Amino acid sequence: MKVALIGAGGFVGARIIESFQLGEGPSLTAIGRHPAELTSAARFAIDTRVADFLNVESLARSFTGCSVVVHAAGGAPADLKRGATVLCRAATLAGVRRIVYLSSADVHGLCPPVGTDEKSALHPRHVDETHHALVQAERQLFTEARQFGLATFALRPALVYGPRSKVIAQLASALRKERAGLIQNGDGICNCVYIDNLVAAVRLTLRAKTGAGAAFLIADKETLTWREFFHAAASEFSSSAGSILSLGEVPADSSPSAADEAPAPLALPPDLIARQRCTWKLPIARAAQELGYEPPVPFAEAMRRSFAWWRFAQGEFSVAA
Amino acid sequence: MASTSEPFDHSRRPASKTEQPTPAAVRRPSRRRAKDTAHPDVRSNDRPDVILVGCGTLALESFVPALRTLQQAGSLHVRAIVDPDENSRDSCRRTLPDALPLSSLDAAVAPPDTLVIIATPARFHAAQTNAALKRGWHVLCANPFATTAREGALMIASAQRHERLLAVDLTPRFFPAARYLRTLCQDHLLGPPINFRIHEGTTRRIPEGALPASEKFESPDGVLTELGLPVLDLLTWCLGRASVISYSDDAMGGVEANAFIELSFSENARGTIHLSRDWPTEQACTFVFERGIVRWDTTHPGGLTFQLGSAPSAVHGELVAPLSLRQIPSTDPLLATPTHAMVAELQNTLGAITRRETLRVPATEAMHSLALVEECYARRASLLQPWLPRNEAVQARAFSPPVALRRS
Repeated sequence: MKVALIGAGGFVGARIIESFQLGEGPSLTAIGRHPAELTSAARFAIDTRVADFLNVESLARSFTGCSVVVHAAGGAPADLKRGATVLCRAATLAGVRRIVYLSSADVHGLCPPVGTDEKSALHPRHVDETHHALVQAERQLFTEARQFGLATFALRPALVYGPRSKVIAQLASALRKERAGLIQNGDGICNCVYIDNLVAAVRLTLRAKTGAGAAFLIADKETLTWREFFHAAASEFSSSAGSILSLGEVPADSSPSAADEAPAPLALPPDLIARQRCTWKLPIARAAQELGYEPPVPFAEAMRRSFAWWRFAQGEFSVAA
Repeated sequence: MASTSEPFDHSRRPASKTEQPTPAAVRRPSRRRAKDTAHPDVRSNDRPDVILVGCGTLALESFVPALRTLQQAGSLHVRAIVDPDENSRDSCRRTLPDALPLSSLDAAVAPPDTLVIIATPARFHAAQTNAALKRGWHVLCANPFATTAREGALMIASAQRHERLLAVDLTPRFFPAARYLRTLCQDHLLGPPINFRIHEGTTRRIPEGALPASEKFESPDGVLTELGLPVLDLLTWCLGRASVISYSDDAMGGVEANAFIELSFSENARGTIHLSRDWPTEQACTFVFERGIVRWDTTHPGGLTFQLGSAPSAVHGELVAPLSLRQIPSTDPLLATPTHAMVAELQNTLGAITRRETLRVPATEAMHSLALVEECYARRASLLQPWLPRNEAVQARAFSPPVALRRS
């Protein structure tokens, strides 16, 4: 099996390449929109291609020799839905029969209601245009895939963190400045997934015998609060958990600057405020049952690896023995 | 010692050791007319002619804005732009509409003493440079100007044979902050330099409209060449001859995206360089001198931050014209965008062609950093990537290719 990976330059794509190349395959063709997106992939001696993700012929050419496509690319909201159409048509043109599409658990909203699972209706009123586009893209993907008879799996990862992730970089930066903040005492549920657990789910989906045409929520095994997530990060960062600011309650629809008129030590991004209000742990039962998904990396180890990368990225390095 | 009264007047300052012109580098260009450039339709005018070879990202971001500025000022005339890809040519022509679009340098017609700017991938530089030199044209070549030090030496020899100039694009040398740092290092204004730490990490921006010429991606140079060469040039320019203490990177069968270098210099200064192109780091140089610390944010070519001895605070400011008791101090920052530096570099190159001034970055100067890159690869070790699971970490080391296979 040879896998075409769209979005090789993103942090998920880069880790898929790293894991497949250093683990037990399969072999890859890494595809980017531009050579600059392939600099991380180019650390390995693998096939790399440049393609226009919105052009059927261009994308189909880049799939040559591949039997499966993993789509891990982001994009502008306006391009996501069209990109799903192009993906299916290019796969059909190139003879690819299986697509693994990385969607997002955000299609259920940033603060999914209690009881949410894959069968729940997708969230219709997103504030962010990108989240609307994710919903539309996933629907378009399945519509097109049915039309062309493609075995298609949509993975809906929770908030992905790990090496090279903005989640870790922003949290480390906030901890360094003593401006990491929690609302509601950090009691909200942190729906997150370590990047290697997501990669494990991708790997399983490549060969899954059941589950085609379905979506799968992918998250870490542990049920964590945001307080536990932040405190674990502070511990890895060698920062005092006491430096994490408790912001109390923040109005649901407030702008960051208006969130706390009384001493406002920092402004949390609106999406983080919404996520921190969550009271529901997204289930991974369907992925476990259909794909055999069992997150291989426990949370503590995931945090250790994440901050090991962070120190590396800050210039702390050592040479392999 | 450089004159301290005119720190930015490069032309009046005696050349320092690293700037000493060498016969190969700055020999005055000959006035002779190259035989094979004779053409009845080609006449020189007052404005020097320029041909731009390569219309990709580098050209669009660096050369084209400066060429437009100088052309609008009447300082040069861009005669032709050359690229095999029509889309790339069109991208450049939007800014330089009068230039003749050509798919090959062979089709270009221009008088002797034309300046050919080569902004193509490094593997094409030698052939394109030699072709231009043979036609009596001078060359300003993008950095790295050669793929190996040996190839670079042959290109310099070719320029000597043809009595043409071979310059290398090293715009950081034209940044006011870089020139200031060099003066500090060379003249010991804060005492001798002791150590330094440099971070250069960026993910590359893609200019709008820039499309790849080919769908088959060809591996680029590693980060050591792409981001490291200008850093190594800056250090050798400021501190003199260098030795590699250690070098490690994360290539695993391909080309590296992260690299760490430890260097020592002839005056006992030593320090580290951290290069990354898969994660944006701070982009800064910090030099520790005997009597102070100076930090340069390299995205800000006209500003520096100083800690002078045990002074109670640091000072951050813009570089302005030198103070004089006889004149009202200027508070206008020195012109210090990358385009300003490129304009200065082009002006210097054109001035050297017309023998008005000395070429400031001849190819011989760029040989120092090219040789250092080769020394780094010769001493390469595998970087520890501490986020990898154990089995992957073992495999990562196994993947590291023998040094001899790299940059062959």
